[in-house]
Amino acid sequence: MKTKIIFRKVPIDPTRKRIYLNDVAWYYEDDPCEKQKMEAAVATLEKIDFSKLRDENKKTL
Amino acid sequence: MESQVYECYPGQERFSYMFYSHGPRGRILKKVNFILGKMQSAVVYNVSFGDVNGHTGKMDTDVVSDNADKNKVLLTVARIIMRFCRRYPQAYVFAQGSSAARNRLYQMMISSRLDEIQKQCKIYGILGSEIVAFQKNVNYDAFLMKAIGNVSFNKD
Repeated sequence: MKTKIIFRKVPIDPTRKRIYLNDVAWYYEDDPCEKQKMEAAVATLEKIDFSKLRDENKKTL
Repeated sequence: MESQVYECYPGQERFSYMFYSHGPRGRILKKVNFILGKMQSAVVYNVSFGDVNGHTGKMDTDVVSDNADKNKVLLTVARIIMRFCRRYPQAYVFAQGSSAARNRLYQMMISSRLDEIQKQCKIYGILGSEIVAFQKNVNYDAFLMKAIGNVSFNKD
């Protein structure tokens, strides 16, 4: 028999502040590791030209 | 893939999923998080995963669990990403390892399951600012996935 797992027991502090890097991307202020990764991800995403992929996806639909 | 993965559950936060790794070091709670990284020109979610600290509830993405189930954990994360892609077919999922070694690990996992992944998702490699179709034996800076256009969401 499977045990039902309730993840609400994992503590989440509602006072943790989110810092936004653009309109949508964020990290928790108290998490320097996540800050570094999110900044790297956003920087990479900003460089990428998605228009070619959009055109390619239109062709496949 | 199904028999080689852990059962996963929705997390407390939106777009987060959790599962337990079982191994010699015990039961370790893992979390997979999708956070929007970009909305203009394309909707891109940044995926990250790591161990949940039992005391703080925070996710540690740099930890090496050493629980002798690396492949099973990676396959579970891959399955979560593929489900996410199917659930949100217009979105891209961006994955970048925290180190070159981790990127190579992800690359090897993708390569070993490429045929299976490509039945449901398009997968790209990122080299600098270029997006290219994923090829085996190429070292990428990051990866991008998207559901194939005509794949419908299978509620499982």
